[in-house]
Amino acid sequence: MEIELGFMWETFLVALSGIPVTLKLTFVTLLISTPLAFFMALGKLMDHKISSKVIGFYVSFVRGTPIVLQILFFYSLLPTALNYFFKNVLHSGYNVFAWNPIIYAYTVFSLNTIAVLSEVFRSALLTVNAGQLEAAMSIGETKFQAYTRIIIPQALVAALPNIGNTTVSLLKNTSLAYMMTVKDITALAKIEAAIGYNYIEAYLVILMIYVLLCTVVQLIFRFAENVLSVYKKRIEVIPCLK
Amino acid sequence: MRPFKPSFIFEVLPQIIPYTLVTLGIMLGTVLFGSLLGLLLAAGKLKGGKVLCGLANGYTYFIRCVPSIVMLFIIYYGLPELLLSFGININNAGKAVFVITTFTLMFSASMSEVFRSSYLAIDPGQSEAGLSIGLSRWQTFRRIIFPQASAVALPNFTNALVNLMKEGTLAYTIGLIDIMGKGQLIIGLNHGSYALETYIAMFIIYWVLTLVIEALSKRLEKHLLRGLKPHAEAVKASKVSKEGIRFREPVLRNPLISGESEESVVLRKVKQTSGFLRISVRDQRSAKMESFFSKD
Repeated sequence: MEIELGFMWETFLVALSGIPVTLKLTFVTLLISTPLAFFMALGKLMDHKISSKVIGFYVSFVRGTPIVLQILFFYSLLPTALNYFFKNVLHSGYNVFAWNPIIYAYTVFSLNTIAVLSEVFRSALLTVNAGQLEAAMSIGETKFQAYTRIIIPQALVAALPNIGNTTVSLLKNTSLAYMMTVKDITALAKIEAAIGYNYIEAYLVILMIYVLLCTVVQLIFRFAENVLSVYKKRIEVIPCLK
Repeated sequence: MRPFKPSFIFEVLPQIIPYTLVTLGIMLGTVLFGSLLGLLLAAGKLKGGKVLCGLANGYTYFIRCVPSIVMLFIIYYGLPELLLSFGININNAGKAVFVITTFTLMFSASMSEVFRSSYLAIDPGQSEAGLSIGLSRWQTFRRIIFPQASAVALPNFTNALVNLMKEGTLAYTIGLIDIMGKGQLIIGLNHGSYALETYIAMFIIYWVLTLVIEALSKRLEKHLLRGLKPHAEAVKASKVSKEGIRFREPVLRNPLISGESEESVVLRKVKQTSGFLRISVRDQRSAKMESFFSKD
């Protein structure tokens, strides 16, 4: 087995230029899905019959089907459907196919991440004792204040490890964006490999870059965890002193 | 635009359903080999020395960071070449071999965590108690540790299994004809038309498979946890009498736990609170000691 190190280095440099796209995919998706997932988690906790049924259905669907299939489905549905909408409903000559395909990637990954994150947030909100909300309201805070000042900071600590895991798996899933002709790390390295059929080298390069990115993401989350859980270290002493 | 034809979904479903067996076969092979490798990794993490433990942890970390599709292609293109340099030719091997190899590597990493966490969840006092009443080591494991550990492991195992099934769809990229592969073939035969209907048919199959796996797992879990019922009631009763003790929901650290059912959450809480009661008593004692010494 021979591995061309020269080619690997060249591919590495080419694939590095795909890192911004991968990171953009990951973080824009997270930005879109976090608020939506939060409200979805609240909706599920409200015990409203219809909303929690609909949300449950959606979450079960997304978690029960492969993301590849979701990508293929939405990538074949959305452009044509939007085109139809613009042509026949709005009667405008707007060309949907000129859009950057990354928009579809954002859509699919967001749909997926919202479902996963909503479960993360739901379980995190459940870890906060109901008495916390009551206590906050009893000292005159509004519900909004109670959530932003008391509930969310505590729930976030519980949620953070899971948010980290979600981010890592999202980062890994973005490697499938090449199916939507988005030029991320995987796509660039594959194109490079196709010229001389050096697939092994190209995939080894991709692997190294993903391990690198994943390490960085995990370090960031570990740091955030340390910062956010500061309050916990003080509180945990209290039950012991009784 | 060609109108959407829902009836095609039902035309295409019977064509794809037989290939569920291929998907399940791949899953079975992967679970067998992956669990074995995962067991070895977990043993390395729990009982191995510094080197073995480090290696096992490093492997798990590494696999966690690798997208399945990248791993699949590295195995598909790389493994034959690697083995050829040792004089073994597997270029004619079926695609299933490469798929199972890839997902064994991926699955073993998550299985090792499942095994490790379930082993650690069982109080060492359990095996001590078993040994103290005259059971042999093997009997203690088979009758005391294993039934409890398997109940703890089951929700995580189910999650890993469903993930495996979902990731396994990527096998179509190297040309394996499973559910996904057959669907893609059908779309190809229709020259790309009826793609949406075929995708929906595949959605249905995968979704049903997931739901069935989860339902079976829930049933099995109930069966495995049948011994805990009296214990759960006892804890409930003690909760009323000992008002001072706080029950904390544990932070879900394990990536695999996050998708567990509500029932298992309750039962896990029961298990952990029983441990917590003990710990809190000890902590109270040590806290009293501390305050006793710090007063001087």
